[in-house]
Amino acid sequence: MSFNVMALPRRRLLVWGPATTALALLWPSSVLAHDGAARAGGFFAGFLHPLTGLDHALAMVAVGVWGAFLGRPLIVALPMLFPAAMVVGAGLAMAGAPAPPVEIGIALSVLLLGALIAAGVRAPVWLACAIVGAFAIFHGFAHGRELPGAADPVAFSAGFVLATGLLHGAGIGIGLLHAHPAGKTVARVLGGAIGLAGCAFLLGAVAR
Amino acid sequence: MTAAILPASLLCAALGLALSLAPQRVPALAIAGAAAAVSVATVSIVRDTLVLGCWASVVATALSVHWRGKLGLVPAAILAVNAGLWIGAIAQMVGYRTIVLAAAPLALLCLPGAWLVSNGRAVPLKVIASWLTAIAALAIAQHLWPGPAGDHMQ
Repeated sequence: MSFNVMALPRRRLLVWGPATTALALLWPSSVLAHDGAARAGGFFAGFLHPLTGLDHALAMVAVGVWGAFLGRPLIVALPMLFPAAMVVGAGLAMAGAPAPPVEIGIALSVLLLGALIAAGVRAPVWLACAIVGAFAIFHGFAHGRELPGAADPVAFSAGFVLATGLLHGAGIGIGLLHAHPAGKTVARVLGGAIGLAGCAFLLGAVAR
Repeated sequence: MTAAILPASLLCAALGLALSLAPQRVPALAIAGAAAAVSVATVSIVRDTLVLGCWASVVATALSVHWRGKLGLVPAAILAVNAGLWIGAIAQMVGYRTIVLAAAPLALLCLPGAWLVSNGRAVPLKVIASWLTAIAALAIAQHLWPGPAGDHMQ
């Protein structure tokens, strides 16, 4: 005997079809084995992670732009210092250190780095390293909290360190425009835009 | 298995970067030493300790890229033999063919690296070495503080 759905009254189908589907979706909630507590992992997830978070991405680009603006040795020192300080922050998070105001720290990093570029501040080497190193610890702390839950944390961290480095490289590329008069304006305007974005992130972080 | 191949690959890459700073003939001698060490390496420690030791070697080897001046024969040989011993032990675990295909070619980074150094452009090597150091340090931190286990389906 065959069962023809089309033979049922249309109105009854419209009511019972969605109702049984909704019931089927709701029913197994008490026996779910996979609660979604673990985060996506792997190299590509790690690589995309800094690129998809605008606050992280802008801070990384700003580090590169400011480093290029400051010239040697900071054009190289800042992109090398950032991952090292980020590891310190990630290590603190993994070790269960008390959480600092991470979101506020990250927002402040975007705001301050953008403002420093816009204003063309030429900080001494020690001060630039201290500023970037301190902010990198906040970024590292945020990533470190996410890492242990990733499916393949080592590949995840390899991906995000590489993406972070490439964002620094992109920032250095933009910052090198500073050598040309028109490029100088472009870099400063970009710094101002990054600073404004930082203001928005800061307001959002404080409002939470 | 991936957990063991990645540190072995990055150790080969770090060794390649470090040997870029060595004068002529030293990289070839060091790679020969590393190959000899791979062939004599034996696994006498548990897998987790082996992987952790390999990551620690990545940190040490990558940090040597920041060495000022040329890398002499003795430090190059020490780095190469150390790398060879760890990679050889991992090769016994995951198979020599896997290591030869996935990790060993990365040691040839010393060729473009030496070209960059001879043209006075060692900076990219130092930046890449700092990335390797960060990845290895994070891996060590995850070993020490693994946190909650991930969902088994992910």
